[in-house]
Amino acid sequence: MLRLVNNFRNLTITKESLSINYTNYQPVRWRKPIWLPVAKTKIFKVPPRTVIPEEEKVELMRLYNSYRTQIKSLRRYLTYKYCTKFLASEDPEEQKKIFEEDFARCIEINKKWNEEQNVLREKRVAEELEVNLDFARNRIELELIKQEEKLQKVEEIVRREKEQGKSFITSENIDEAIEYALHNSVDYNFAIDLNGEKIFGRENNTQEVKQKVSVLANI
Amino acid sequence: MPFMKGVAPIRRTLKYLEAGRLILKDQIKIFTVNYNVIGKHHAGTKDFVFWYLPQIQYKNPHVQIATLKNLTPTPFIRCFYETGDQMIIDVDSKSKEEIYEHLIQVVGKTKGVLKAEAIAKEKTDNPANFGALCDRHCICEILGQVPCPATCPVPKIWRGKYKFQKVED
Repeated sequence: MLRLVNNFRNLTITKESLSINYTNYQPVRWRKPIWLPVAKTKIFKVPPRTVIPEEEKVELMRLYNSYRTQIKSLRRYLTYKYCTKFLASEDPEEQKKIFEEDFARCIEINKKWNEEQNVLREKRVAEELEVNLDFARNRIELELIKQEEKLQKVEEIVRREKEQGKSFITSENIDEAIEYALHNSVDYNFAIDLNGEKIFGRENNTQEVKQKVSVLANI
Repeated sequence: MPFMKGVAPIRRTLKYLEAGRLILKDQIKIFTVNYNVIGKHHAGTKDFVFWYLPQIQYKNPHVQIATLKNLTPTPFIRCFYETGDQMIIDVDSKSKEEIYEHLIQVVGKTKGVLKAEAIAKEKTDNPANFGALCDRHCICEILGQVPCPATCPVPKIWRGKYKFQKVED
Protein backbone atom coordinates (compact mmCIF):
# COMPACT_ATOMS: atom_id res chain seq x y z
CA MET A 1 0.00 0.00 0.00
CA LEU A 2 1.24 3.50 -0.74
CA ARG A 3 0.46 6.76 0.95
CA LEU A 4 1.11 10.41 0.14
CA VAL A 5 3.88 12.10 2.11
CA ASN A 6 3.59 15.82 2.83
CA ASN A 7 6.68 17.95 3.17
CA PHE A 8 5.87 19.75 6.38
CA ARG A 9 8.03 22.66 5.32
CA ASN A 10 5.43 23.87 2.89
CA LEU A 11 2.03 24.08 4.47
CA THR A 12 0.23 24.45 1.15
CA ILE A 13 -0.48 21.59 -1.22
CA THR A 14 1.10 22.73 -4.45
CA LYS A 15 0.95 21.12 -7.85
CA GLU A 16 4.58 20.06 -7.45
CA SER A 17 3.88 18.18 -4.21
CA LEU A 18 1.17 16.19 -5.97
CA SER A 19 3.48 15.17 -8.78
CA ILE A 20 2.46 13.00 -11.71
CA ASN A 21 5.45 10.68 -11.21
CA TYR A 22 4.36 9.65 -7.69
CA THR A 23 7.71 10.84 -6.26
CA ASN A 24 6.01 11.76 -2.97
CA TYR A 25 4.58 8.28 -2.36
CA GLN A 26 5.89 6.10 0.48
CA PRO A 27 5.08 2.44 0.96
CA VAL A 28 3.11 1.48 4.14
CA ARG A 29 4.13 -1.83 5.66
CA TRP A 30 0.72 -3.22 6.66
CA ARG A 31 -2.95 -2.39 6.28
CA LYS A 32 -5.65 -4.86 7.17
CA PRO A 33 -7.35 -6.29 4.04
CA ILE A 34 -10.93 -5.18 3.69
CA TRP A 35 -12.41 -8.66 3.93
CA LEU A 36 -10.75 -9.70 7.20
CA PRO A 37 -13.03 -9.51 10.22
CA VAL A 38 -12.32 -7.19 13.16
CA ALA A 39 -9.61 -8.60 15.53
CA LYS A 40 -10.83 -10.29 18.74
CA THR A 41 -9.03 -7.77 20.91
CA LYS A 42 -10.73 -4.93 19.18
CA ILE A 43 -14.37 -6.11 18.85
CA PHE A 44 -15.64 -4.51 22.05
CA LYS A 45 -13.31 -1.57 21.97
CA VAL A 46 -15.25 1.61 22.65
CA PRO A 47 -13.22 4.65 21.72
CA PRO A 48 -13.56 7.47 24.27
CA ARG A 49 -15.42 10.49 23.09
CA THR A 50 -13.12 13.43 22.50
CA VAL A 51 -13.58 16.13 25.12
CA ILE A 52 -12.98 19.66 23.96
CA PRO A 53 -13.12 22.45 26.54
CA GLU A 54 -15.98 24.92 26.08
CA GLU A 55 -13.85 27.95 25.35
CA GLU A 56 -11.79 26.11 22.80
CA LYS A 57 -14.96 24.76 21.23
CA VAL A 58 -16.35 28.25 20.85
CA GLU A 59 -13.09 29.52 19.40
CA LEU A 60 -12.90 26.62 16.95
CA MET A 61 -16.48 27.15 15.81
CA ARG A 62 -15.81 30.84 15.28
CA LEU A 63 -12.75 30.13 13.19
CA TYR A 64 -14.44 27.39 11.21
CA ASN A 65 -17.48 29.53 10.53
CA SER A 66 -15.48 32.45 9.29
CA TYR A 67 -13.40 30.16 7.06
CA ARG A 68 -16.48 28.50 5.65
CA THR A 69 -18.22 31.79 4.92
CA GLN A 70 -15.11 33.00 3.15
CA ILE A 71 -14.90 29.86 1.01
CA LYS A 72 -18.63 29.93 0.29
CA SER A 73 -18.49 33.55 -0.81
CA LEU A 74 -15.48 32.86 -3.03
CA ARG A 75 -17.24 29.94 -4.67
CA ARG A 76 -20.43 31.92 -5.24
CA TYR A 77 -18.49 34.81 -6.69
CA LEU A 78 -16.60 32.56 -9.08
CA THR A 79 -19.78 30.73 -10.10
CA TYR A 80 -21.46 34.00 -10.87
CA LYS A 81 -18.44 35.27 -12.76
CA TYR A 82 -17.89 32.23 -14.92
CA CYS A 83 -21.23 30.50 -15.20
CA THR A 84 -24.22 32.72 -14.55
CA LYS A 85 -22.85 35.78 -16.31
CA PHE A 86 -21.95 33.93 -19.51
CA LEU A 87 -24.97 31.66 -19.53
CA ALA A 88 -27.19 32.37 -22.54
CA SER A 89 -30.76 33.01 -21.49
CA GLU A 90 -33.17 30.14 -22.00
CA ASP A 91 -35.99 32.44 -23.09
CA PRO A 92 -36.48 32.00 -26.87
CA GLU A 93 -37.67 35.60 -27.26
CA GLU A 94 -34.49 36.84 -25.67
CA GLN A 95 -32.35 34.60 -27.83
CA LYS A 96 -34.18 35.75 -30.96
CA LYS A 97 -33.62 39.35 -29.99
CA ILE A 98 -29.91 38.82 -29.42
CA PHE A 99 -29.59 37.02 -32.73
CA GLU A 100 -31.47 39.75 -34.55
CA GLU A 101 -29.27 42.51 -33.14
CA ASP A 102 -26.12 40.65 -34.03
CA PHE A 103 -27.46 39.87 -37.49
CA ALA A 104 -28.34 43.53 -38.10
CA ARG A 105 -24.84 44.59 -37.09
CA CYS A 106 -23.23 42.03 -39.41
CA ILE A 107 -25.55 42.96 -42.28
CA GLU A 108 -24.44 46.58 -41.92
CA ILE A 109 -20.77 45.68 -42.15
CA ASN A 110 -21.45 43.43 -45.12
CA LYS A 111 -23.49 46.11 -46.86
CA LYS A 112 -20.58 48.55 -46.71
CA TRP A 113 -18.23 45.90 -48.03
CA ASN A 114 -20.63 45.05 -50.85
CA GLU A 115 -20.98 48.71 -51.82
CA GLU A 116 -17.21 49.12 -52.05
CA GLN A 117 -17.05 45.92 -54.06
CA ASN A 118 -19.78 47.22 -56.35
CA VAL A 119 -17.73 50.27 -57.25
CA LEU A 120 -14.60 48.24 -57.94
CA ARG A 121 -16.53 45.69 -59.93
CA GLU A 122 -18.27 48.27 -62.11
CA LYS A 123 -14.90 49.86 -62.81
CA ARG A 124 -13.37 46.55 -63.79
CA VAL A 125 -16.32 45.62 -65.99
CA ALA A 126 -16.20 49.03 -67.72
CA GLU A 127 -12.49 48.63 -68.39
CA GLU A 128 -12.97 45.15 -69.80
CA LEU A 129 -15.82 46.42 -71.94
CA GLU A 130 -13.57 49.19 -73.31
CA VAL A 131 -10.88 46.66 -74.15
CA ASN A 132 -13.41 44.45 -75.91
CA LEU A 133 -14.87 47.37 -77.86
CA ASP A 134 -11.41 48.44 -79.01
CA PHE A 135 -10.68 44.95 -80.13
CA ALA A 136 -13.96 44.82 -82.02
CA ARG A 137 -13.32 48.18 -83.67
CA ASN A 138 -9.87 47.06 -84.79
CA ARG A 139 -11.34 43.96 -86.26
CA ILE A 140 -14.01 45.94 -88.09
CA GLU A 141 -11.34 48.20 -89.55
CA LEU A 142 -9.28 45.28 -90.72
CA GLU A 143 -12.35 43.70 -92.25
CA LEU A 144 -13.22 46.88 -94.09
CA ILE A 145 -9.70 47.17 -95.44
CA LYS A 146 -9.85 43.57 -96.62
CA GLN A 147 -13.19 44.13 -98.29
CA GLU A 148 -11.84 47.21 -100.05
CA GLU A 149 -8.86 45.31 -101.32
CA LYS A 150 -11.11 42.55 -102.57
CA LEU A 151 -13.30 45.07 -104.26
CA GLN A 152 -10.34 46.65 -105.96
CA LYS A 153 -9.11 43.32 -107.20
CA VAL A 154 -12.50 42.49 -108.60
CA GLU A 155 -12.74 45.88 -110.23
CA GLU A 156 -9.31 45.37 -111.80
CA ILE A 157 -10.47 42.10 -113.33
CA VAL A 158 -13.64 43.70 -114.61
CA ARG A 159 -11.69 46.57 -116.11
CA ARG A 160 -9.33 44.22 -117.87
CA GLU A 161 -12.21 42.22 -119.25
CA LYS A 162 -13.94 45.39 -120.39
CA GLU A 163 -10.82 46.49 -122.17
CA GLN A 164 -10.51 43.18 -123.85
CA GLY A 165 -14.18 43.32 -124.67
CA LYS A 166 -13.54 46.22 -127.00
CA SER A 167 -11.80 43.90 -129.44
CA PHE A 168 -14.58 41.27 -129.32
CA ILE A 169 -16.24 40.36 -132.56
CA THR A 170 -20.00 40.94 -132.25
CA SER A 171 -22.76 40.40 -134.78
CA GLU A 172 -22.30 44.00 -136.04
CA ASN A 173 -18.54 43.66 -136.56
CA ILE A 174 -18.65 40.28 -138.12
CA ASP A 175 -18.62 41.40 -141.79
CA GLU A 176 -15.80 43.84 -141.21
CA ALA A 177 -13.92 41.27 -139.19
CA ILE A 178 -14.17 38.70 -141.97
CA GLU A 179 -13.03 41.28 -144.56
CA TYR A 180 -10.11 42.28 -142.33
CA ALA A 181 -9.10 38.68 -141.72
CA LEU A 182 -9.21 37.85 -145.39
CA HIS A 183 -7.11 40.84 -146.44
CA ASN A 184 -4.59 40.74 -143.56
CA SER A 185 -3.47 37.20 -143.21
CA VAL A 186 -0.93 36.63 -140.41
CA ASP A 187 2.13 34.78 -141.44
CA TYR A 188 3.47 32.64 -138.53
CA ASN A 189 6.08 31.01 -140.66
CA PHE A 190 8.89 33.50 -139.95
CA ALA A 191 12.48 33.08 -139.02
CA ILE A 192 14.42 34.86 -136.26
CA ASP A 193 17.95 36.03 -136.75
CA LEU A 194 20.53 36.38 -133.95
CA ASN A 195 19.35 39.84 -132.89
CA GLY A 196 15.82 38.59 -132.43
CA GLU A 197 14.49 40.22 -135.58
CA LYS A 198 11.73 38.36 -137.41
CA ILE A 199 12.31 37.62 -141.07
CA PHE A 200 9.08 37.18 -143.04
CA GLY A 201 8.69 35.72 -146.58
CA ARG A 202 9.69 32.40 -148.15
CA GLU A 203 12.39 33.28 -150.56
CA ASN A 204 14.55 35.71 -148.65
CA ASN A 205 18.17 36.38 -148.51
CA THR A 206 19.33 37.68 -145.18
CA GLN A 207 21.02 40.64 -146.84
CA GLU A 208 17.99 41.56 -148.99
CA VAL A 209 15.59 41.74 -146.10
CA LYS A 210 13.66 45.00 -146.18
CA GLN A 211 10.98 44.27 -143.68
CA LYS A 212 12.47 44.06 -140.22
CA VAL A 213 10.15 43.73 -137.33
CA SER A 214 11.78 43.54 -133.95
CA VAL A 215 10.19 41.07 -131.52
CA LEU A 216 11.38 43.13 -128.61
CA ALA A 217 9.40 46.13 -129.87
CA ASN A 218 6.16 44.17 -129.77
CA ILE A 219 6.52 43.19 -126.15
CA MET B 1 3.28 7.55 -49.72
CA PRO B 2 -0.29 6.39 -49.22
CA PHE B 3 -1.23 9.07 -46.70
CA MET B 4 0.04 12.14 -48.59
CA LYS B 5 -2.83 12.25 -51.05
CA GLY B 6 -3.85 15.15 -53.24
CA VAL B 7 -2.26 18.35 -54.42
CA ALA B 8 -1.42 19.92 -51.06
CA PRO B 9 -1.73 17.15 -48.45
CA ILE B 10 -0.88 19.58 -45.65
CA ARG B 11 -4.55 20.55 -45.82
CA ARG B 12 -5.36 17.11 -44.44
CA THR B 13 -3.09 17.35 -41.39
CA LEU B 14 -4.64 17.79 -37.96
CA LYS B 15 -2.37 20.67 -37.13
CA TYR B 16 -3.50 22.62 -40.17
CA LEU B 17 -7.18 21.87 -39.58
CA GLU B 18 -7.06 22.79 -35.89
CA ALA B 19 -5.53 26.14 -36.88
CA GLY B 20 -8.78 27.25 -38.53
CA ARG B 21 -10.10 30.54 -37.16
CA LEU B 22 -13.53 30.81 -38.74
CA ILE B 23 -16.20 29.23 -36.53
CA LEU B 24 -19.58 30.01 -38.06
CA LYS B 25 -22.49 31.16 -35.93
CA ASP B 26 -24.88 28.50 -34.65
CA GLN B 27 -27.75 29.78 -36.78
CA ILE B 28 -25.89 29.30 -40.08
CA LYS B 29 -26.81 25.98 -41.64
CA ILE B 30 -25.63 26.26 -45.26
CA PHE B 31 -22.56 27.98 -46.66
CA THR B 32 -22.24 28.24 -50.47
CA VAL B 33 -19.42 29.57 -52.62
CA ASN B 34 -20.11 30.43 -56.26
CA TYR B 35 -17.10 30.94 -58.53
CA ASN B 36 -15.58 30.13 -61.94
CA VAL B 37 -12.56 28.01 -62.48
CA ILE B 38 -11.12 30.42 -65.09
CA GLY B 39 -10.95 34.16 -64.68
CA LYS B 40 -8.57 36.62 -63.04
CA HIS B 41 -11.23 38.05 -60.72
CA HIS B 42 -12.19 34.53 -59.58
CA ALA B 43 -8.62 33.54 -58.67
CA GLY B 44 -8.88 34.79 -55.07
CA THR B 45 -12.07 32.84 -54.40
CA LYS B 46 -10.60 29.76 -56.02
CA ASP B 47 -7.59 29.93 -53.68
CA PHE B 48 -9.88 30.56 -50.74
CA VAL B 49 -11.83 27.38 -51.53
CA PHE B 50 -8.62 25.41 -52.01
CA TRP B 51 -6.88 26.49 -48.80
CA TYR B 52 -9.49 27.56 -46.26
CA LEU B 53 -12.55 25.41 -46.93
CA PRO B 54 -11.10 22.28 -45.26
CA GLN B 55 -10.45 24.31 -42.12
CA ILE B 56 -13.95 25.77 -42.14
CA GLN B 57 -15.62 22.38 -42.57
CA TYR B 58 -13.45 20.86 -39.83
CA LYS B 59 -14.43 23.55 -37.37
CA ASN B 60 -18.11 23.44 -38.41
CA PRO B 61 -18.94 19.79 -39.01
CA HIS B 62 -22.72 20.38 -38.92
CA VAL B 63 -22.79 23.09 -41.59
CA GLN B 64 -23.45 22.11 -45.20
CA ILE B 65 -20.74 23.66 -47.37
CA ALA B 66 -21.19 23.62 -51.16
CA THR B 67 -19.18 24.98 -54.06
CA LEU B 68 -21.01 25.88 -57.26
CA LYS B 69 -18.65 26.26 -60.20
CA ASN B 70 -18.90 27.97 -63.57
CA LEU B 71 -22.37 29.40 -63.08
CA THR B 72 -21.69 33.05 -62.30
CA PRO B 73 -19.91 35.99 -63.94
CA THR B 74 -18.67 37.28 -60.57
CA PRO B 75 -17.84 35.20 -57.49
CA PHE B 76 -19.90 35.47 -54.30
CA ILE B 77 -20.47 33.66 -51.01
CA ARG B 78 -23.92 33.04 -49.57
CA CYS B 79 -24.84 32.00 -46.02
CA PHE B 80 -28.28 30.64 -45.16
CA TYR B 81 -29.59 31.07 -41.63
CA GLU B 82 -32.02 28.93 -39.66
CA THR B 83 -34.53 31.80 -39.59
CA GLY B 84 -34.57 31.94 -43.40
CA ASP B 85 -32.35 35.00 -43.74
CA GLN B 86 -29.51 35.09 -46.24
CA MET B 87 -26.24 36.95 -46.31
CA ILE B 88 -24.64 37.49 -49.72
CA ILE B 89 -20.99 38.52 -49.78
CA ASP B 90 -19.50 39.81 -53.05
CA VAL B 91 -15.88 38.66 -53.33
CA ASP B 92 -14.95 39.87 -56.82
CA SER B 93 -11.18 40.36 -57.28
CA LYS B 94 -10.37 39.83 -53.58
CA SER B 95 -7.50 37.74 -52.26
CA LYS B 96 -8.12 34.71 -50.09
CA GLU B 97 -6.85 36.42 -46.94
CA GLU B 98 -9.16 39.38 -47.41
CA ILE B 99 -12.13 37.09 -47.92
CA TYR B 100 -11.22 35.08 -44.81
CA GLU B 101 -10.86 38.13 -42.58
CA HIS B 102 -14.14 39.59 -43.76
CA LEU B 103 -15.94 36.30 -43.16
CA ILE B 104 -14.58 36.08 -39.61
CA GLN B 105 -15.89 39.55 -38.98
CA VAL B 106 -19.31 39.05 -40.50
CA VAL B 107 -20.37 35.40 -40.08
CA GLY B 108 -17.93 34.08 -37.49
CA LYS B 109 -18.48 33.86 -33.76
CA THR B 110 -17.01 36.80 -31.88
CA LYS B 111 -14.03 36.35 -29.55
CA GLY B 112 -16.22 37.00 -26.49
CA VAL B 113 -18.67 34.28 -27.43
CA LEU B 114 -15.86 31.81 -28.09
CA LYS B 115 -14.27 32.58 -24.72
CA ALA B 116 -17.56 32.05 -22.89
CA GLU B 117 -18.08 28.76 -24.68
CA ALA B 118 -14.58 27.60 -23.76
CA ILE B 119 -15.24 28.33 -20.08
CA ALA B 120 -18.60 26.57 -20.19
CA LYS B 121 -16.93 23.58 -21.79
CA GLU B 122 -14.29 23.48 -19.03
CA LYS B 123 -16.95 23.49 -16.33
CA THR B 124 -18.80 20.54 -17.79
CA ASP B 125 -15.48 18.80 -18.40
CA ASN B 126 -14.71 18.15 -14.69
CA PRO B 127 -12.34 15.17 -14.59
CA ALA B 128 -13.37 14.29 -11.04
CA ASN B 129 -16.84 13.27 -12.23
CA PHE B 130 -17.79 9.69 -12.82
CA GLY B 131 -20.83 8.20 -14.43
CA ALA B 132 -22.47 8.00 -17.82
CA LEU B 133 -20.48 10.36 -20.07
CA CYS B 134 -17.25 10.46 -18.09
CA ASP B 135 -13.92 8.65 -18.05
CA ARG B 136 -14.82 6.49 -15.08
CA HIS B 137 -18.09 4.68 -15.24
CA CYS B 138 -18.51 3.68 -11.59
CA ILE B 139 -17.34 4.81 -8.16
CA CYS B 140 -15.52 1.49 -7.75
CA GLU B 141 -12.99 2.67 -10.39
CA ILE B 142 -11.84 5.59 -8.23
CA LEU B 143 -8.72 5.17 -6.05
CA GLY B 144 -9.47 4.75 -2.36
CA GLN B 145 -13.01 3.48 -2.81
CA VAL B 146 -14.45 0.02 -2.19
CA PRO B 147 -13.50 -2.19 -5.15
CA CYS B 148 -16.12 -3.57 -7.49
CA PRO B 149 -18.17 -6.35 -5.87
CA ALA B 150 -17.95 -8.13 -9.24
CA THR B 151 -14.19 -8.66 -8.66
CA CYS B 152 -13.94 -9.03 -4.88
CA PRO B 153 -17.11 -9.86 -2.93
CA VAL B 154 -18.14 -7.41 -0.23
CA PRO B 155 -18.06 -8.80 3.39
CA LYS B 156 -21.25 -10.59 4.40
CA ILE B 157 -21.76 -8.24 7.34
CA TRP B 158 -22.09 -5.31 4.92
CA ARG B 159 -24.59 -6.98 2.68
CA GLY B 160 -28.18 -6.09 3.26
CA LYS B 161 -29.53 -9.49 2.32
CA TYR B 162 -27.37 -11.16 5.05
CA LYS B 163 -28.10 -8.52 7.69
CA PHE B 164 -31.87 -8.54 7.37
CA GLN B 165 -32.38 -12.22 6.56
CA LYS B 166 -30.19 -13.61 9.41
CA VAL B 167 -33.17 -15.49 10.87
CA GLU B 168 -33.48 -17.68 7.77
CA ASP B 169 -29.71 -18.37 7.80
